[in-house]
Amino acid sequence: MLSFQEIIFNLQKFWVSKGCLLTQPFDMEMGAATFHPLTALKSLGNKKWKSVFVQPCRRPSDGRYGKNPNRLQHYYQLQVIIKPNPTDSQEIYLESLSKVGIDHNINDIKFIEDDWESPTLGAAGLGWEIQCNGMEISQFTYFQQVGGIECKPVSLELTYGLERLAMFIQKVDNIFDIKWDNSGMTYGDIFKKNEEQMSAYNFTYAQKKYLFDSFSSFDKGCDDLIKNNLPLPAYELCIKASHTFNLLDARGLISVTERQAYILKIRSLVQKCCNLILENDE
Amino acid sequence: MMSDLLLEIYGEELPSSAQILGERQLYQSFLELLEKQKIVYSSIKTFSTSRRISIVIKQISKKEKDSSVEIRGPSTGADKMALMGFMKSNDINDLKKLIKKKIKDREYYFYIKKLKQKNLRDIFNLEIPLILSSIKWKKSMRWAYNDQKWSRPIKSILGIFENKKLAFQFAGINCNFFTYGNYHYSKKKIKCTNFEVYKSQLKKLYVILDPKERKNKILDNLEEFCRNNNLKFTFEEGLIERISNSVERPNLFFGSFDNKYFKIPEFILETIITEKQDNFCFKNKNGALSNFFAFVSNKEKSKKKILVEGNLNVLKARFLDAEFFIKEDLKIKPEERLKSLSSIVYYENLGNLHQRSLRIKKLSEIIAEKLDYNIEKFSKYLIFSNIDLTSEVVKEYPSLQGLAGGFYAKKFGFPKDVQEAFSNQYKISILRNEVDLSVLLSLAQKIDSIFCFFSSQKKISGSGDPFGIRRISISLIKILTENKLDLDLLQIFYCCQKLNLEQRIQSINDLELIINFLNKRIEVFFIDEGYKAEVIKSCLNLKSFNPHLILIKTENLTKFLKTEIGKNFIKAFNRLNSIVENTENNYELNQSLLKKREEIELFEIIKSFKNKKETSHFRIDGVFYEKMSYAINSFLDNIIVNAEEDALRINRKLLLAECKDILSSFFNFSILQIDD
Repeated sequence: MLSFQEIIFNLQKFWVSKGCLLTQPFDMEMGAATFHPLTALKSLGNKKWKSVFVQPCRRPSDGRYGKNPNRLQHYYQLQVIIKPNPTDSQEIYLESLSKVGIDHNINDIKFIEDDWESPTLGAAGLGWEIQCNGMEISQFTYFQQVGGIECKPVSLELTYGLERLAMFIQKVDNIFDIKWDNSGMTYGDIFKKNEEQMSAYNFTYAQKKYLFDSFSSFDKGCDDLIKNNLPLPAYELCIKASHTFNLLDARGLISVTERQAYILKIRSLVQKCCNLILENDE
Repeated sequence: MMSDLLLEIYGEELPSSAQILGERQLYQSFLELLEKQKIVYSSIKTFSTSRRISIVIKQISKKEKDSSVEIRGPSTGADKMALMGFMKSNDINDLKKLIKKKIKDREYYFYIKKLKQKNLRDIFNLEIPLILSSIKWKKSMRWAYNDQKWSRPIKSILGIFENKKLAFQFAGINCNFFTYGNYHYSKKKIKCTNFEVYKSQLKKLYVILDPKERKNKILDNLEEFCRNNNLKFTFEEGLIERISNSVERPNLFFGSFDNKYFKIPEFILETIITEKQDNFCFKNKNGALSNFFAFVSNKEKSKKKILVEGNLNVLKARFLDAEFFIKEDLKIKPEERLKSLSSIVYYENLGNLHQRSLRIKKLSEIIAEKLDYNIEKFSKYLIFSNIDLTSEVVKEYPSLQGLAGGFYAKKFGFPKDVQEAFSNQYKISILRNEVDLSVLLSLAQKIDSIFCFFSSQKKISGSGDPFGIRRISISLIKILTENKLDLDLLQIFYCCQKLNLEQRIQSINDLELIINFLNKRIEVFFIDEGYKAEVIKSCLNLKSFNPHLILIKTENLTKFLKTEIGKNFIKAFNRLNSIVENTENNYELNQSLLKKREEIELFEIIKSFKNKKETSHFRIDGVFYEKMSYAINSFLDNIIVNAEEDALRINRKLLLAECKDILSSFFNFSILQIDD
């Protein structure tokens, strides 16, 4: 049976064999690997790009104090980004599953309509949520727009939820029982305490004033950087603003109606960064 | 050789809605093409599955055969150069191809040009790509470098006419005569030269082309299962369509979960099974949820064990999630939840959700008083109507907002009426024999949403409804009309202004903006109910908004306009209206100047109109309006309005103006037209 780390090895090896660059995670908190500049920003413009990397992700409101067997506030995504998308994208994806022991001839792999959208990134794409016997294991998206800009050519973004995949492959019912390696080290050994404490932080102790203040200083800082033609650090502040917004949300400090205003704020900043990057490229 | 056309667009998994829409538009576009090109055919049919959309048109032929046209050349006596020029321009190489004909004593050369009908094959090669690119998808996409759009990437296009492949290109793909079976079973390419081969080959390769056939197969299986297990199944149409369109050939799989999960309320289990997992659920004969579930797959039955086990595991994981949410939610007392509502901003400058709860409570009390309902015993609970918004259950399953509130109200021991009212507050429609707490809370909640939306100065633009205000308005109108509640919302909005002022939060001053918006909504709603737009409009104004009364007015006016009296009255009113356009201000009607019989009669009838009770106007008394029409017509027929004497002229105009004003105070007749 494949361990968590072997699943990562195998997928990376497979995608490298398909010509992808093996790149590394981005060193900031983000809700999804799409925020990684090597995905979001590389999907702009017409230069070819192929990359695979693992990205730790944080979704504060998904924290369950380590008590829920299926949810984490911190987890890993393996992301593949290929521009332009290959004509046989689906077939290659199914082949990648066979490298981690999921045979699509035996298992029911369904491509379920999912019009993916990242409101904060101003990004949208069409594709599917991929289910294996009813369990979502990947997201499959043809990017149509990032930062409000049309993607030409279109990129394929594949995102594997590594914990879900491992649970399926290892046949375990609890995330914390995932075998990280073959020596007996489990996911829980490494992350259980982190989940317990970070959930408390996300839901109760994250400081309200600090969060609101940070959000506005990221907002302002980002604008300043854009004015000074520094879109890359400006984009980093967008990532920070987005995570701060997620924390505010987890703390229940923003109402459903007011969420929209925050999302729009981040989106307009990302859009400015993307426009500037493209302008500088020309 | 069969003169059939077969077209199939094969590609990656299409959303269910795109299959339905694609089929419909393809059908419509081909009908238009056949009509335009005068092509006859014996039948036309479309199909779709999760991977393809196709169309077959049988026994195609052209209505018109080849035709010819006579082209006149120069006269036979003309210069030789003119003849040469004529022959050259018409591509004629032999003088023998020309004939001579006399017109008015003069002889001319004529050329009979044969017009070949455009070849059907050429038409299809030219038109099919245009049809494919004209389809309007709800959402469509580009892929790789291709600029043309389709619902999902296309892999292959099959295009056959008269057993031979067509020669067109769409989205960078050349059409050919190949298709593919259900790829879960075979990846083989199949060559098709006609529809019969296409259909039978696909059947062999596990594809059921007809969506209805797939749906019926699922329904038959579900029914059989219910019969054998003494169960019932209910589902919304959208669910079965979505499920049957998610495959090329459906196989149904059944599983069951442990009864221990029934400690989770049924409405949550049901939402997880159907909304989250797109599975079917079943009810026992007594209406309670059963522990069976079913799902559909392309895979064959032999894979049952692995599939059912996998799907059950996902359900179990989601149930555990729900259980966790409920457990966490119940740890927090209602009073504490109320506090947490205080830290959530509603709209910017519009306070927090705790303040909103307070307003909803007060509004419920105000409406209760207007509708004569004793709300006192429930008042203290109303402040908790929104506390489920901070619950984990609602965060995870937003569609359960309200229902979760009702569930927690029960857990906290609130009275039954309160539980029900919390559960029902977001429902689009609540039909009751008499006013109850559910109706009141639902109205208050919706009125505050609309009022605060407008106070926030946010705008609704285009067709979008991001804050759900259009939907909420329609629901408000529906509840007020269905339950025949006599409530003027303008009066309630005045109360809203006071409440916002008390809370020192922003408030909209110009209530006409809201009334104007609601007038448009009620117009849309009543048009859907079958009323005419102009009739509805003439029952609306900006001085009140009472949907129940507006409905009565609209019903009565609709009936009235169908009668002869009604039609005559509108004609008389239009005569009056065309004269009373510029009234001279600063004058008052002088009764002593009214001398002629027609003037006095009109004056008297206006007076009696004024003395009628307000509500009696809505019934539209035919006898009265007949008299009114007579009085207006007699006046206009016999009295010279533009009298030479100033005082008389002004007085007559004032009388007519008053007549128009008084008639327009309940219905705006001036926008009505009479169809003869």
